Amino acid sequence: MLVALGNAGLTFALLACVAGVVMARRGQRRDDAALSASVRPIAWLSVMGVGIAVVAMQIALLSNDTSVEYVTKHGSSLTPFPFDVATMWSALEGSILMWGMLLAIYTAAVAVKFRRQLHDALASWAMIVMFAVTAFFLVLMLVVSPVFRSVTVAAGFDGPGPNPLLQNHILVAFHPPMLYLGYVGFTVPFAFAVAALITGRLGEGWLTATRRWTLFSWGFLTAGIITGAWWSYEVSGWGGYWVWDPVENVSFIPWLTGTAYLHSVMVQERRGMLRVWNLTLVCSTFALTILGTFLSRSGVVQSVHAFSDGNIGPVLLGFFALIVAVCVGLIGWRGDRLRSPGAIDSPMSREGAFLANNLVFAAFAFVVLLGTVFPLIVEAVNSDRVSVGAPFFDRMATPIGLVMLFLMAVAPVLPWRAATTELLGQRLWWPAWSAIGALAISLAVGARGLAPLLAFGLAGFAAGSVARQLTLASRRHGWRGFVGRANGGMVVHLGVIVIAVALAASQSFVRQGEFTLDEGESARVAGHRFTYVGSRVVQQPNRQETRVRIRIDGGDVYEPSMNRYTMQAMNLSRPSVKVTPTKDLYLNLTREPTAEDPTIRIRIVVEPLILWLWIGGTIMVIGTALSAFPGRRRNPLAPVSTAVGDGRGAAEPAPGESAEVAG
Amino acid sequence: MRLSTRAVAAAVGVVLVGLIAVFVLGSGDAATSRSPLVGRMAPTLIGSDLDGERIDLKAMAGRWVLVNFFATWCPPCVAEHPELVRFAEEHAAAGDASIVSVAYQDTPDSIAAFFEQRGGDWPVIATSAEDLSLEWGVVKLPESYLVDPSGRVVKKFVGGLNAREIDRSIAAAAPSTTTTSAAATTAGIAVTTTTTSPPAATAAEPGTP
Amino acid sequence: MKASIRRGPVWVAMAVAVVAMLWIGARPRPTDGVSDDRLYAIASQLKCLQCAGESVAGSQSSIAIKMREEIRREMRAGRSDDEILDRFVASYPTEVLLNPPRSGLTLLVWVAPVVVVAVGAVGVASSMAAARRARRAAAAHSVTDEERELVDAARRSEARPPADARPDGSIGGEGG
Repeated sequence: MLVALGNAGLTFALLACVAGVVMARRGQRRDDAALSASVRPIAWLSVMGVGIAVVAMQIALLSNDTSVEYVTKHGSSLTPFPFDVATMWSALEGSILMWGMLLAIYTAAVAVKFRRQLHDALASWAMIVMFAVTAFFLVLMLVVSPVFRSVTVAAGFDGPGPNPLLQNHILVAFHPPMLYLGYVGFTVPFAFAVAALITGRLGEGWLTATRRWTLFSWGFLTAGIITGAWWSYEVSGWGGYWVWDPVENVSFIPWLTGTAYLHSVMVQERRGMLRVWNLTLVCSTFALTILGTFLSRSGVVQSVHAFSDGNIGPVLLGFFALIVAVCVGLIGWRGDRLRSPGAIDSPMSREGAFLANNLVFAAFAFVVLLGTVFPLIVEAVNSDRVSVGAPFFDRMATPIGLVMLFLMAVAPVLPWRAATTELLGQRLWWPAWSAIGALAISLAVGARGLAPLLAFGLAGFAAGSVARQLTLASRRHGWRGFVGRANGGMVVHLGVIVIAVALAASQSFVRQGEFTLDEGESARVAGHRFTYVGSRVVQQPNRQETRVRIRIDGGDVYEPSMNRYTMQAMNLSRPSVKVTPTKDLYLNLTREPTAEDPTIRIRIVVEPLILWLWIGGTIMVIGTALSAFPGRRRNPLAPVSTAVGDGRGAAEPAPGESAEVAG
Repeated sequence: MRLSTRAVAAAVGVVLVGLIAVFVLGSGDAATSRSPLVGRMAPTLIGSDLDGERIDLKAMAGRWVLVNFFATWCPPCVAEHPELVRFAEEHAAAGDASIVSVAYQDTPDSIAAFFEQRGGDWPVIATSAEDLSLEWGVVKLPESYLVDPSGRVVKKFVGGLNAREIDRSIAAAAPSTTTTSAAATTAGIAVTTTTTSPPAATAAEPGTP
Repeated sequence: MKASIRRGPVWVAMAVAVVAMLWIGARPRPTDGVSDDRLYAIASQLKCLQCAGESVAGSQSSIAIKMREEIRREMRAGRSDDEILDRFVASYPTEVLLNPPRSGLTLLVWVAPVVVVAVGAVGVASSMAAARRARRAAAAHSVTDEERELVDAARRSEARPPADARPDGSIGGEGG
């Protein structure tokens, strides 16, 4: 019954999407505003259709309805709440269902937001693209890799439940939805970019129309990546939070190109330049989300997160190829209209800094993409196998990260067009002191090593720059000095700086060891004493936990455990962490005590400043929200750039604070 | 900004088409990894059997030896065992080839019971001073190495074996071993690791028994 | 601007202080001796071949535990990091190294990013230089009243319709 209901819902949604495309196109052809406006209710119909499917799936999972194949494969009557809800996105088919749901919602949201402009060719084409992409995912769910399939099982059959790794921590309920909200949201700017290319209206209109959508998606992608890192830290067993796994990488690459776009779009809005580049970034961000979905779901790359492969891979690859072909074709076709009317006058200017920023972000995205697919390239060329792992990415990311910190320090103080040395000297005065202070403090607390010290010094430099901007802005505008793009952006920068410091510290100054302890014995790591004081067994519905009690420095007791998932016959350790602002003491049981051998084996990791990774992530998300808030905005119709080549245009901002704070 | 947009678009297109081609080419069944041992002299293989008798691969020079890493708790190892028995029996009379098994994380009792129940009386290394699985680059069980009469590894088998396959590999490598050693080296390198059946299905991950 | 003139020497002093502090603080990671920290640093360079995407440092699979024990033995024997890694390359396929070797085809993965950044930087710099040259050429050409009139007219028309309806490139033309 639920299978039929789910499939009916999806089919209904698919029909709605097709109808949406037809109506929008017909509205354009006949110049009929009523037809064009009809896409709004149609979009809601498609939300309703997918919604029915999602509800059917949730009922099936919560009631453990074994007539649904997905439930028999990934569900279980013993899976506790909320993991049974999260089971929907714990496997391939269900995750596509969630993707489709979010995409339908985004489509409806666009239709609502632009309800008065639906007859405008630009919005109308954007709706067509949104419907088409949604339809693609619905076809995936209905035909290629069906979500709802009936199955007959013997009475009393119980499924295995989701992968134990996905039941070991509550964050699994939050990380995928946030990541997907980000991933899927990039469809909106993509739809408008394609619409702009098709209609030939390549001015700034589509940019302003979608800026906040991009920001929204970017914010959720950021939150998704950070919670993913947090989750992986909580379950990894050795204190790792980012291992440059292919599936992590494919979420990070669109984040990088999206970040590049959020910066370079300002150059286009302000100076009308970099149009091809911005279109390329928007298109590649979306294409890379599809590529990422392909890589993580087709089984071509080895990964801890990879879902089992099916026939979905070739279809996703084909879709990726189609997107690339459409984008490249459209940009090539409209090439003549994309010629920039201006030029960058000096590398020592805000736009020069944005250009450098984009170069760095593009290079970073390239490095991560190259490293991720390189083993495949080698295998295709000489059928040899190589690994490109964390040491490679760390080596590459370190200089890139340092340059980013430097740019974050310098770029916000640079005026548009051109800066003088005196101006720079004056504005960088306090940030420079902040850098010196940060470096001196790092040395004083015993930090050693060139890369971490550079990171701390540059972080101080960048933080000084942020503080300067926010102080000036809030002095001038009160609380409004923290909202709007420029100031909210500075808050995001602050979050990035905090994360950079935490990354450098936790990577460079981690101390660890693995010990065999008998009851009453202690181990020492980094000056802390860890005493094994006893163990107990706790029975949970889906697992049996062997908890060992570890007293840290004679004080609090922490209980890492070894969880045995009975259904999968799988042992999974569950670390326990003592979190302090300066360092995390991470305990992970690698061998539980048994009747024959009462000793335990335990991995102890002492990692500095881990807490600040999550704090920095939170600051980034808050900053994103602040920058989406309307700041002091100029009239969107006012010309923002004088495109006269001599640099003496009327709209030239006076070099000074006002030019910086505005925007 | 002087670059023609079309040229840039074309370049991007070409790169991405190349990328897609890589996925299409690479998404087939992954080739098994080569073992660096193939074509080289076999690493030392010295240990004791269940009775404490010393076993040394070097002492077996002059005939073909199949070095078989296995565990009694590994289902694919159980599955391939009859083929090993067949291979051993077929070559017992001629005396031109034999098997040495190396037990991986196993107990003498279960090894003895395993051979008692499933046949086979070739030497089994139950304990050794060195960690042989690391010396030989064992990843998953079962894995086997074919060593030629001169002590050179000519082939690595990943996953379950069958007796015919081993014979074919011996036949393929045999002519070169009778010629000069340089030729043998080339032939040895040319013979790469093969999988007798899909590795995922047959190779078990050595874990806790 | 009086302040910035006096600040000159301070800037120099700051630069010296930064270099001095980095000089004092820069200390390479020890590459000998026996310690758990060194053990895990080496283990994180090796791929756990039994696992999907984990390093020997992080994994609890039997092969990773064995390899960590082996690394400890090798450290005790006084081997260098490279010697220890080579020991694993001798028996396991190249895949075991998480750092792709800087030779043969895999050299490409190290070189390509550098080349891309260099090409990008040169491209951006040369287009900026070209723009500067063009601007100088344009400045040499004195603007006539007629041309000024045209530009003003164009600006006036630009201010009226929505920004995205502006005929792009019609004003600056080839100026870029």
